[in-house]
Amino acid sequence: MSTSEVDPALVGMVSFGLLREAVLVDLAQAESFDVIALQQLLSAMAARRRSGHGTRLRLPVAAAARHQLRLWRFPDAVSAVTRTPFHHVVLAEDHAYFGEEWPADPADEGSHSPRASVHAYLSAQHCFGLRPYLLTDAGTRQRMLPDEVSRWGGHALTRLLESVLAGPAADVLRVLVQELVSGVLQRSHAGVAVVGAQLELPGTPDGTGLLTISEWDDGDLQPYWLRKVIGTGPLGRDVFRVHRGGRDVETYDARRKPLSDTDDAELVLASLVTSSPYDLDPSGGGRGSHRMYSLYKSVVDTFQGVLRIDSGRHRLEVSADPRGGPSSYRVDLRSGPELPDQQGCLLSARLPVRDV
Amino acid sequence: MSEATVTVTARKIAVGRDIPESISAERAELYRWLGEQLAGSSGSEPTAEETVYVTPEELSSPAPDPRSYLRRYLPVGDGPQLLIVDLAENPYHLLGEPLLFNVARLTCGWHKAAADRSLVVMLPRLPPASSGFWLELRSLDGTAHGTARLIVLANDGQCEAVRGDTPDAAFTTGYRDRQARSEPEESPLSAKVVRKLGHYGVSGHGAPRCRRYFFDVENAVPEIGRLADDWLTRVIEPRVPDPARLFLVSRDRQMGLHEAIAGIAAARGCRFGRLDPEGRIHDATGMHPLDPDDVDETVVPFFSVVDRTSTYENVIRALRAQGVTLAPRAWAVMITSSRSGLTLAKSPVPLRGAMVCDRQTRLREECEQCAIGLPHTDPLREGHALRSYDVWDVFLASAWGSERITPLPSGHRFHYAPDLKAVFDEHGGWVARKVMALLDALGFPSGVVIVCPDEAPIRSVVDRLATLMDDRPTVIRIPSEVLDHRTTLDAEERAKHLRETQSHLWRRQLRHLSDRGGKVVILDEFRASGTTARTMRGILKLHGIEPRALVPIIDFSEAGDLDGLPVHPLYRIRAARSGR
Repeated sequence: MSTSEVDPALVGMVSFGLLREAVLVDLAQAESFDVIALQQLLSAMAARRRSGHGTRLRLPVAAAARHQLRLWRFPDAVSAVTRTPFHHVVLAEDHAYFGEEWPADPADEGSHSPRASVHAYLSAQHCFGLRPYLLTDAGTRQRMLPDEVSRWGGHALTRLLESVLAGPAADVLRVLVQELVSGVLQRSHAGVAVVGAQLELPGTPDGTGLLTISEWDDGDLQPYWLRKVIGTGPLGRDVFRVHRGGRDVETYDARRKPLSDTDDAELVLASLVTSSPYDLDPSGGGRGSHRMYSLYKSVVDTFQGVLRIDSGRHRLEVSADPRGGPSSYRVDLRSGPELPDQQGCLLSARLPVRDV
Repeated sequence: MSEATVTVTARKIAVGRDIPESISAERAELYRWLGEQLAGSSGSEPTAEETVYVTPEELSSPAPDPRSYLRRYLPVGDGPQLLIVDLAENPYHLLGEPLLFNVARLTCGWHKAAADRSLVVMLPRLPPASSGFWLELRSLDGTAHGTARLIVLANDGQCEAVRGDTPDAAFTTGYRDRQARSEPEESPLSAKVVRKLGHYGVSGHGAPRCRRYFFDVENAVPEIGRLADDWLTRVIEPRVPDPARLFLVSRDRQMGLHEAIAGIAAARGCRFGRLDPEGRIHDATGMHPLDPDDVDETVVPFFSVVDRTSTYENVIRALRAQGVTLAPRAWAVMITSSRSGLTLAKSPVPLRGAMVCDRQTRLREECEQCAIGLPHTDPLREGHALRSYDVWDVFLASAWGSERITPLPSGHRFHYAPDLKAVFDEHGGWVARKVMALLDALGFPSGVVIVCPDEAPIRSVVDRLATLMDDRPTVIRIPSEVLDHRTTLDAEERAKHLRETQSHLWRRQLRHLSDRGGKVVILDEFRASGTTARTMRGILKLHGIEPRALVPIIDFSEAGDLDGLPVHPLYRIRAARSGR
C-alpha cells in the first residue's frame, strides 16, 4: 500500500460524501506497506475522530502484511490517533489478530540483501515503523526528542546506516531527526505526532534502496509559515526550478521570490524558497530556527534524497536539479482536488541507500 | 622592536549540560599547545575558565540561540588575539544546525571585527558542506590581513583553513594525537560490564547450581563491538578462505552482545544470526531456526559469558553436527573461570575471552539462599530495590568500624558500621545500575542533576554512574566541610561563610540551577537522622532550588519523606542511630 493507492482512496472518501458516515478502510488485499501511506491513513483517521466520526479497519489477509503492521506498531499508532483501543477499531472477524504468533517464515523486505539479517534484527527491535506521541501529555512531549535520539542512535542501526547512505550517517540524527522533531514541538496546537521510519534493502544487483524518515502531526502548519518573516531570502546562491502541472517551468531565486500574499500553493513554495538560517523564529525568538532550510540542504545536498511536504491539498517535493549546479533544486509542486486534504503536516525525507 | 603579545583565550562549550563545569588539566594543556603552535612564542598563557553550557531544554526550544550568553564570554580589548572555541568533546548529534550556525556566526563576527584576531573552532567532526555552519565562514575573503587565521579542526585531524595559511601535516597530526590524549580515557570493557549480585539459577547440563553474580554487558555495546571487530580482522580474516563470506552468530541471554555483533555484520555486509542454548543456529530475530544447508558461509561464534568448558564444547559440537563450516576460533566477552580460560584457549576451536574472572557456582543443596528459601533472581527483570541478602552479605564481608563521616554535633556517629567506601569500590557498578533504574522509574527524560556530598563513598558510586551513563548526569559535589560546619553556624557566621564561598565552583553551579529544581536529586550513601540531607536541601533552597527527591542508598528511617521531600531509598533498614 503506497501513496499512489492511498491518495485516490482518501479523495474518494470525501467525494462520495462519506465524511459524515462511518467508514470501513479495507486493507484485506494489502501485501506490504509504505510508511508514508500509513501516516496518510492515520492522519485521515485522526481528522475523522476530531469531527466525531468513526473509522473501522479490515486487516490484511496476508500473514506477512499482518506481521508488518505488528512490527511497525500500527495498532499503537491507531490507538493514539483515534484515542480508541485498536481492538475496537478492527472488525470482529479480525480479532484473531490478537495473540497471533509470528509467521514461521516472515517475508523480509530485504531478503536478497547481504544485510537482510541485520534488517530483520532491527525490525524485531521495532527500529522501523510508526512511533506515536501524544503531545498533550507534558511528559511525552519532553520525552519525544530523547526517545527518537535513543532509537536513531542505536549501535547496530548507526553502523548499518554508515554502510549504506550516501552521506554521513551521523547527520541523520544530528540534522534530520532533530529538525523534524524540533519542528513538531515548535508548531502550534500539535496534539499528536507519529514518526515513521522505513528501510528498504531490496538486494538488487546495484543495491539501490531507500531510507524513509517521516513525521506527521496534527499541528497547525499554515500559521507557522504565515508568521515567518518571508523576505529575508535565500543567500543568492540557491536556485529552484519549479515544475507545476499546466505551467512552464519557473525559476525562483533571491531575485525572484514567490509572493506570500497569494494562494496557499504559493505560500508553501515561499516557505521553501525563502527559507534560510537567518530567518527569525516565528514565535519571535532568535535566528536560525527555521527548519526548512536545514532539511532541504541535508536531504538533497548531503544525502542526495528527496524532501516531501504535504499540507492541505498541496504536495511539494524537492530534489537535486540534474540540469543545475550544486545549489540548484528541482521542485515538483502539485495542488488540487486529486490530492487528499492533508490534515496537519506530513514531512518526509527519502534517502537513497546503496547496499552492496 | 619586540613582538606584540597575542592574547590567547579558550572557551569550551558544553552542550546538553545544566551548569558550568571545570575544565580538565588535559584540556588546558591542549589549549596551551594550540596557542604555541598558532601564536608562537608571543602567545600568552591561555585563559580557560569553566565551560559555557547549553541546556537540553535550550536545544529543543523554538530558538536555540546561544548568542545571548556566549557573547559575554567572548574576549574583548585591542591587540592581537587568538580565540579557541572548543566544541570537540560534545556528542556530534547534539550539535544541531541552529546551534552550529549561531556559534559560527557569532565567533566569525568577533574574528572580523579586527584584523589581528585569529579563531580556531574545534569540532568532534567536520559537518558536511551543506551545513549552515559553513555559511558565514565561506562568506569571508580567504585572504586574511596580517597574520590572522581562521581554522576549523576535527578530532580525527581533519583541518579546514578558512582564512590564512593552511597548517602543515605535523600540526594536524599533532592535534589529532593530543586531542586523543586529552579526551576522557575510553571506558575499558571492565568498567562497563556490571557484576550484579543476586541468586541466579544455572540450568542446562549437570546438577542444578546457583550463582552469586550475573554479568550484565548491556552498557558495553560499543566497547564489545570494537574489540570483537578488531579480533575478526586480526584473527579470523587471515585464517578463513573468504573473509568476505562470514556468518556471525551470537549467544547471549540479554541483547547487548547481539546488538554489538549485528553492528559488525551491518558494517561488513555479512549475515548475522543467533544461537540458542543448545547451539542451534537461528535467524537474526532468534525466533526461527535456520536450515544449516542454507548457511554456506564460515560461521563465527560469539559468546557473552562462558562459564564452563563443557557448555562451550557442547555448543561447538552442536554447530559441527549441523554441518556448517566453522571458523577456527571463537570469541567471548567474558570467561568466568581462569582455569576454564586456559582449557578453552587450547580446545579444538580455541575461545578467546576479552575478560577473564572467577565466578563460583554452588550446587543447589549447598546454596545458602536456596536453604532459606529465596527465589531465583531474574537478571532481565530486576527493579531498583536492593535485596536484604545482598545488602547484608556485602556489609558483613566488609571491614567494620566507627562511622567516619557524620554531621556533628547534632547527628551522632555509628560506633560500628560497614566500610561503605570499600563496599562501593567493590560493588559500585551494581549500585550505580540500581540508581539508574530508580532514576528511570522516577522519569528523568532529559538528564538529571545529582547533588551529593563530596565524600569518598558516594563519589565512588557517582563515578560509576558517570561511566555507565556516558557522562550524562551532571553532578554538583558539596564539600564535606560545608556539610559538617554549616549546622554549627549562627546566622551571622552563615552569611559570612556563604560570602566567602561565593566564588567556589559548586556555589556558581547552584546559582545557575536556580528555579530549575525539577531535575535535581539529592544522592547520599544513607539517611539516618536526616541531618546531612536537610543541610543539603537547605543549601539548595538558599539558591532557589527545590529538589525533586532524596535518594539514599540505605535508609535508616521508615518515613517516606524528609519534611515533605519524597525519599526513594534503594534499601531500607529499620534502625535507630545510637545516642551514645
